[in-house]
Amino acid sequence: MDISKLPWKAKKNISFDKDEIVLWHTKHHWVRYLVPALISAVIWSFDMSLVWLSFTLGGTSTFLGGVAFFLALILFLVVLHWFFHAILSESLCDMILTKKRMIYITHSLWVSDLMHDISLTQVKAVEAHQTGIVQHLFDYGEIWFDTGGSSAGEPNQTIAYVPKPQKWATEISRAMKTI
Amino acid sequence: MSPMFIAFGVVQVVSLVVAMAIAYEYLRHAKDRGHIFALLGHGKFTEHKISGLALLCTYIVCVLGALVIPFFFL
Repeated sequence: MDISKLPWKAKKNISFDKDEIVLWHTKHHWVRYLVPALISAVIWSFDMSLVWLSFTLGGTSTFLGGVAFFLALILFLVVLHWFFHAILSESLCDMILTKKRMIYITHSLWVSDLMHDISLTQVKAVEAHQTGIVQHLFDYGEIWFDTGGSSAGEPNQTIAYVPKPQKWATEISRAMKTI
Repeated sequence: MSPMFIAFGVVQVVSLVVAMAIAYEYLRHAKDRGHIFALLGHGKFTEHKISGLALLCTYIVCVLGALVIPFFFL
Protein backbone atom coordinates (compact mmCIF):
# COMPACT_ATOMS: atom_id res chain seq x y z
CA MET A 1 0.00 0.00 0.00
CA ASP A 2 1.29 3.45 -0.93
CA ILE A 3 1.32 5.80 2.02
CA SER A 4 0.42 8.74 -0.20
CA LYS A 5 -3.04 7.20 -0.57
CA LEU A 6 -3.72 7.56 3.14
CA PRO A 7 -6.00 10.47 4.07
CA TRP A 8 -3.31 12.37 5.94
CA LYS A 9 -3.13 16.01 5.08
CA ALA A 10 0.53 16.55 5.91
CA LYS A 11 1.97 13.28 4.68
CA LYS A 12 1.30 13.16 0.98
CA ASN A 13 4.93 13.20 -0.08
CA ILE A 14 6.20 10.49 2.23
CA SER A 15 7.09 7.02 1.08
CA PHE A 16 8.92 4.23 2.84
CA ASP A 17 11.60 2.04 1.38
CA LYS A 18 11.13 -1.71 1.52
CA ASP A 19 14.04 -2.20 3.90
CA GLU A 20 12.94 0.59 6.21
CA ILE A 21 11.95 -0.94 9.53
CA VAL A 22 11.05 0.46 12.93
CA LEU A 23 13.98 0.51 15.36
CA TRP A 24 12.28 2.29 18.20
CA HIS A 25 8.78 3.46 18.90
CA THR A 26 7.29 5.38 21.80
CA LYS A 27 4.62 7.84 22.77
CA HIS A 28 4.72 10.99 24.86
CA HIS A 29 5.49 10.54 28.53
CA TRP A 30 2.42 9.94 30.73
CA VAL A 31 2.98 13.35 32.35
CA ARG A 32 1.17 14.76 29.30
CA TYR A 33 -2.04 13.10 30.55
CA LEU A 34 -1.76 14.70 34.00
CA VAL A 35 -2.86 18.24 33.11
CA PRO A 36 -6.23 17.30 31.52
CA ALA A 37 -6.82 14.75 34.30
CA LEU A 38 -6.19 17.29 37.06
CA ILE A 39 -8.26 20.03 35.41
CA SER A 40 -11.14 17.59 34.85
CA ALA A 41 -10.96 16.33 38.45
CA VAL A 42 -11.17 19.88 39.80
CA ILE A 43 -14.10 20.87 37.56
CA TRP A 44 -15.97 17.61 38.19
CA SER A 45 -15.59 18.15 41.95
CA PHE A 46 -17.21 21.55 41.51
CA ASP A 47 -19.83 19.86 39.32
CA MET A 48 -20.71 17.40 42.08
CA SER A 49 -21.35 20.30 44.46
CA LEU A 50 -23.65 21.79 41.79
CA VAL A 51 -25.58 18.49 41.66
CA TRP A 52 -25.85 18.51 45.46
CA LEU A 53 -27.09 22.12 45.26
CA SER A 54 -29.69 21.11 42.68
CA PHE A 55 -31.07 18.41 45.00
CA THR A 56 -31.10 20.85 47.92
CA LEU A 57 -32.88 23.50 45.85
CA GLY A 58 -35.23 20.85 44.46
CA GLY A 59 -36.76 20.52 47.94
CA THR A 60 -37.98 24.13 47.90
CA SER A 61 -38.23 25.00 44.19
CA THR A 62 -38.47 22.37 41.49
CA PHE A 63 -37.63 24.91 38.79
CA LEU A 64 -34.42 26.16 40.45
CA GLY A 65 -33.39 22.60 41.24
CA GLY A 66 -33.95 21.64 37.61
CA VAL A 67 -31.94 24.62 36.32
CA ALA A 68 -29.02 23.82 38.65
CA PHE A 69 -29.11 20.16 37.56
CA PHE A 70 -29.24 21.21 33.91
CA LEU A 71 -26.19 23.47 34.35
CA ALA A 72 -24.37 20.67 36.20
CA LEU A 73 -25.11 18.28 33.34
CA ILE A 74 -23.86 20.72 30.67
CA LEU A 75 -20.67 21.38 32.64
CA PHE A 76 -20.12 17.64 33.13
CA LEU A 77 -20.60 16.90 29.42
CA VAL A 78 -18.37 19.75 28.24
CA VAL A 79 -15.53 18.62 30.51
CA LEU A 80 -16.13 14.95 29.60
CA HIS A 81 -15.78 15.65 25.88
CA TRP A 82 -12.81 17.97 26.38
CA PHE A 83 -11.03 15.42 28.60
CA PHE A 84 -11.48 12.48 26.24
CA HIS A 85 -10.66 14.65 23.23
CA ALA A 86 -7.36 15.57 24.89
CA ILE A 87 -6.60 12.00 25.99
CA LEU A 88 -7.53 10.36 22.68
CA SER A 89 -5.55 12.99 20.74
CA GLU A 90 -2.58 12.36 22.98
CA SER A 91 -2.84 8.60 22.52
CA LEU A 92 -2.43 9.11 18.77
CA CYS A 93 0.92 10.90 19.13
CA ASP A 94 3.81 8.70 18.10
CA MET A 95 7.58 8.95 17.86
CA ILE A 96 8.97 6.42 15.44
CA LEU A 97 12.64 5.84 14.70
CA THR A 98 13.31 3.87 11.52
CA LYS A 99 16.62 2.96 9.93
CA LYS A 100 16.49 6.12 7.85
CA ARG A 101 14.43 8.74 9.64
CA MET A 102 12.74 9.99 12.74
CA ILE A 103 8.99 10.45 12.45
CA TYR A 104 7.09 12.53 14.99
CA ILE A 105 3.32 12.51 14.64
CA THR A 106 0.99 14.68 16.72
CA HIS A 107 -2.76 15.01 16.55
CA SER A 108 -5.52 17.07 17.99
CA LEU A 109 -8.66 15.40 16.69
CA TRP A 110 -10.53 17.61 14.18
CA VAL A 111 -8.08 20.43 14.92
CA SER A 112 -4.57 19.60 13.78
CA ASP A 113 -2.71 16.75 12.13
CA LEU A 114 1.05 17.20 12.06
CA MET A 115 3.86 14.93 11.01
CA HIS A 116 7.54 15.83 11.22
CA ASP A 117 9.83 13.69 9.16
CA ILE A 118 13.50 14.18 10.03
CA SER A 119 15.88 12.31 7.76
CA LEU A 120 18.83 10.89 9.69
CA THR A 121 21.17 11.81 6.85
CA GLN A 122 20.45 15.49 7.53
CA VAL A 123 21.00 15.22 11.29
CA LYS A 124 24.45 16.27 12.44
CA ALA A 125 23.94 15.64 16.15
CA VAL A 126 21.27 14.66 18.66
CA GLU A 127 21.00 16.13 22.12
CA ALA A 128 18.84 15.06 25.05
CA HIS A 129 17.74 17.85 27.36
CA GLN A 130 16.28 17.32 30.82
CA THR A 131 15.65 20.43 32.86
CA GLY A 132 14.02 20.77 36.26
CA ILE A 133 13.27 18.41 39.11
CA VAL A 134 10.04 17.06 37.60
CA GLN A 135 11.72 16.00 34.34
CA HIS A 136 14.52 14.24 36.23
CA LEU A 137 12.12 12.64 38.70
CA PHE A 138 9.86 11.16 36.02
CA ASP A 139 12.67 10.66 33.49
CA TYR A 140 11.42 12.60 30.50
CA GLY A 141 12.69 15.54 28.49
CA GLU A 142 13.39 16.95 25.07
CA ILE A 143 15.35 15.66 22.12
CA TRP A 144 16.91 18.21 19.82
CA PHE A 145 18.03 17.37 16.30
CA ASP A 146 20.87 19.54 15.07
CA THR A 147 20.46 19.70 11.30
CA GLY A 148 23.04 22.47 10.89
CA GLY A 149 22.14 26.07 11.56
CA SER A 150 19.14 25.18 13.71
CA SER A 151 18.69 26.05 17.37
CA ALA A 152 17.13 24.06 20.22
CA GLY A 153 14.16 26.42 20.33
CA GLU A 154 12.89 25.52 16.85
CA PRO A 155 9.67 23.53 17.11
CA ASN A 156 10.30 21.28 14.09
CA GLN A 157 13.72 20.23 15.37
CA THR A 158 12.73 19.49 18.95
CA ILE A 159 10.55 16.74 20.35
CA ALA A 160 9.23 17.35 23.84
CA TYR A 161 7.91 14.95 26.50
CA VAL A 162 10.13 12.12 25.33
CA PRO A 163 10.37 9.29 27.90
CA LYS A 164 13.97 8.26 28.66
CA PRO A 165 15.50 10.92 26.35
CA GLN A 166 19.11 9.83 26.98
CA LYS A 167 18.32 6.32 25.81
CA TRP A 168 16.52 7.70 22.76
CA ALA A 169 19.43 9.96 21.85
CA THR A 170 21.75 6.95 22.06
CA GLU A 171 19.47 4.87 19.82
CA ILE A 172 19.21 7.68 17.26
CA SER A 173 22.98 8.20 17.24
CA ARG A 174 23.42 4.47 16.72
CA ALA A 175 20.96 4.52 13.80
CA MET A 176 22.80 7.52 12.27
CA LYS A 177 26.06 5.57 12.28
CA THR A 178 24.53 2.63 10.39
CA ILE A 179 23.38 4.75 7.42
CA MET B 1 -43.65 16.89 27.74
CA SER B 2 -42.03 19.53 29.96
CA PRO B 3 -39.60 22.15 28.51
CA MET B 4 -36.91 20.91 30.91
CA PHE B 5 -37.23 17.40 29.51
CA ILE B 6 -36.88 18.74 25.94
CA ALA B 7 -33.83 20.85 26.92
CA PHE B 8 -32.19 17.78 28.44
CA GLY B 9 -32.95 15.81 25.30
CA VAL B 10 -31.41 18.46 23.03
CA VAL B 11 -28.23 18.63 25.13
CA GLN B 12 -27.93 14.85 25.08
CA VAL B 13 -28.37 14.65 21.31
CA VAL B 14 -25.65 17.30 20.82
CA SER B 15 -23.41 15.39 23.24
CA LEU B 16 -23.96 12.16 21.34
CA VAL B 17 -23.13 13.83 18.01
CA VAL B 18 -19.90 15.29 19.47
CA ALA B 19 -18.93 11.87 20.87
CA MET B 20 -19.57 10.20 17.52
CA ALA B 21 -17.50 12.85 15.71
CA ILE B 22 -14.57 12.40 18.11
CA ALA B 23 -14.80 8.59 17.94
CA TYR B 24 -14.96 8.66 14.12
CA GLU B 25 -11.90 10.91 13.84
CA TYR B 26 -10.01 8.80 16.35
CA LEU B 27 -10.76 5.55 14.53
CA ARG B 28 -9.81 7.11 11.19
CA HIS B 29 -6.40 8.15 12.50
CA ALA B 30 -5.89 4.85 14.35
CA LYS B 31 -6.57 3.01 11.10
CA ASP B 32 -4.01 5.19 9.29
CA ARG B 33 -1.50 4.50 12.04
CA GLY B 34 -2.14 0.79 11.65
CA HIS B 35 -1.26 1.13 7.95
CA ILE B 36 1.95 3.03 8.64
CA PHE B 37 3.08 0.43 11.17
CA ALA B 38 2.17 -2.35 8.78
CA LEU B 39 4.26 -0.67 6.08
CA LEU B 40 7.18 -0.46 8.44
CA GLY B 41 6.77 -4.07 9.53
CA HIS B 42 6.20 -3.15 13.17
CA GLY B 43 4.64 -6.10 14.97
CA LYS B 44 4.01 -4.46 18.34
CA PHE B 45 1.14 -2.28 17.24
CA THR B 46 -1.61 -4.54 18.64
CA GLU B 47 -1.08 -3.52 22.26
CA HIS B 48 -1.43 0.18 21.33
CA LYS B 49 -4.55 -0.62 19.37
CA ILE B 50 -6.06 -2.44 22.34
CA SER B 51 -5.27 0.37 24.81
CA GLY B 52 -6.67 2.94 22.38
CA LEU B 53 -9.86 0.97 21.86
CA ALA B 54 -10.23 0.50 25.63
CA LEU B 55 -9.96 4.28 26.02
CA LEU B 56 -12.54 4.81 23.30
CA CYS B 57 -14.93 2.28 24.89
CA THR B 58 -14.56 4.05 28.25
CA TYR B 59 -15.45 7.31 26.55
CA ILE B 60 -18.53 5.83 24.89
CA VAL B 61 -19.68 4.22 28.17
CA CYS B 62 -19.27 7.55 30.00
CA VAL B 63 -21.24 9.41 27.32
CA LEU B 64 -24.02 6.80 27.32
CA GLY B 65 -24.08 6.87 31.12
CA ALA B 66 -24.40 10.64 31.08
CA LEU B 67 -27.16 10.21 28.50
CA VAL B 68 -29.30 7.84 30.53
CA ILE B 69 -28.68 8.61 34.21
CA PRO B 70 -29.99 12.25 34.31
CA PHE B 71 -33.41 11.14 33.06
CA PHE B 72 -33.91 9.11 36.27
CA PHE B 73 -33.76 12.37 38.23
CA LEU B 74 -36.24 14.31 36.08
